[in-house]
Amino acid sequence: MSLNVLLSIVILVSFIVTVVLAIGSYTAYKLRERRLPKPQLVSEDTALYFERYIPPPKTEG
Amino acid sequence: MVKPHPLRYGIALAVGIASMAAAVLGLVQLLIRIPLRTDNWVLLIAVSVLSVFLVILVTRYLVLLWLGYLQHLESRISEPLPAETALPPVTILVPAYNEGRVIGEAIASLLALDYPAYEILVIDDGSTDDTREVVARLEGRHGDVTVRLVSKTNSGKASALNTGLALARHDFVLCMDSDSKLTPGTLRAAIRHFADPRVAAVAGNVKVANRRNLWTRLQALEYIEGLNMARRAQGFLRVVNIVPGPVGVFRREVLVEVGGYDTDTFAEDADLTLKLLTAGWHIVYEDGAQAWTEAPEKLLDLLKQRYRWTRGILQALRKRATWLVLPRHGAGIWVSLNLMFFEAILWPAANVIGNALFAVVALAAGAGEYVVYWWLLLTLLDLMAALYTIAMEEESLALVPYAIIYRFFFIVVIDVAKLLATVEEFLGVRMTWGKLQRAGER
Repeated sequence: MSLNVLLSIVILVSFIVTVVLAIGSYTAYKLRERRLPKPQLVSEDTALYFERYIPPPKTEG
Repeated sequence: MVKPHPLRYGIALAVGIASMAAAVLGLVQLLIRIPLRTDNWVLLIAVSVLSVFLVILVTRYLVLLWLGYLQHLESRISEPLPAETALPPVTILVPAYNEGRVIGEAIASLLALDYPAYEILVIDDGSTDDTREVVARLEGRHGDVTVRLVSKTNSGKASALNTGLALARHDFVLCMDSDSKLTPGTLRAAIRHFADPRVAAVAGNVKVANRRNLWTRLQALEYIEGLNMARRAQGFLRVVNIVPGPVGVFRREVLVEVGGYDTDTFAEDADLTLKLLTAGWHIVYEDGAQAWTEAPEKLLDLLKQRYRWTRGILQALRKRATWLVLPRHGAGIWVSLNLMFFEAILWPAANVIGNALFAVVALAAGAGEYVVYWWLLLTLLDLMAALYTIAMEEESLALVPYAIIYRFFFIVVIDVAKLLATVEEFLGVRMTWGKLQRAGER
């Protein structure tokens, strides 16, 4: 096997691995973002100091 | 300030162009030598596509370097800086959200600016850390410079900048990020461009400060060879299409006139710049106005940044879709907007597909060994471009070797992310972390 062919194989494999790495990393990034807790949304036209009242669960007895 | 050495840059440009010409000839030879059977139309079409890709790649490089060189020469032969008494006062806007660890250093860099009259206005965007306390300790007079602090409820960077714009006392404003540090000559270098009444904004030169690992060094090279080279070329035509968040100087009344920053995209800097361009204003580039910024050090953080940039730029372009079709207010703006579209969508796709296609063609034609020449010659192009742009900015030569893995590793990773982000934008996928940005993260 000539040096050219060997180097070409190395470059091809590296390129394919890079593309796979890129797609894998993007997927990992999306998964990480999905796992992050959702922030409290704050909007300038939303009342800041009122919270929805959620009644506590009823307990038996 | 960068010292003028036009002759040295001229020689570097000549060497660069000669090397690129040799590389192009070599690549053309390779394409011709791939054994083609006349009945194999698929292969013939693939080779034609590759040839077009190569022509675009080289033309893009040459045009950017040529225009960049012209901008460089122009900036060196332009009028000297006005006398100190002629310099107008400037308000520096520093929006900050949970930047307690870095904002002290940012303000220290601002207090060291070589400029006679300016004020620093920090807009605390509802931080939950000690940002307010750190800035409060610096509030007040520092010689001729005043540091002011205003606090507001958290509503994002664009909103914070609009607040600052309303409270600014001077006719010129410098907008920056709170994790960036400015070099002392920044204001003096930028303000001279406003002697031209058609100029509404000056885009500065952003550099990576934390060159600590492979990713940040590659980004340092990318900022010089990619982002700044494009900005420099656009600057020659007065149509810079993104005034970067870390450093940009504006006429305040023009910003007020166009309605300030919009909050409906994820790239408020690109959106505002397009707003100014489409209103007919000139936007220039100044490499002496330098901001040193912290780049993402981890791959996933880098992808997060590029995801936001890509979708933000597409959102800003979508708001002005009709401007992409027909030239209005001159061809320069039309070219600048289309260039933005090209760099955001078409070129990333072409890069990934072009490389993959060459490998497929070479293998299909039984000429797999040509792949090594393809890599060598394209890498030579990148090395020459890196050497030239690094020389122009008088940057560290230690970054040049990173050009070897720039195109076939770094750019592939970034372009794949851009492509996937583009697909998500067109599919209307909700930016789940987008509200985080609104909540102040930058």
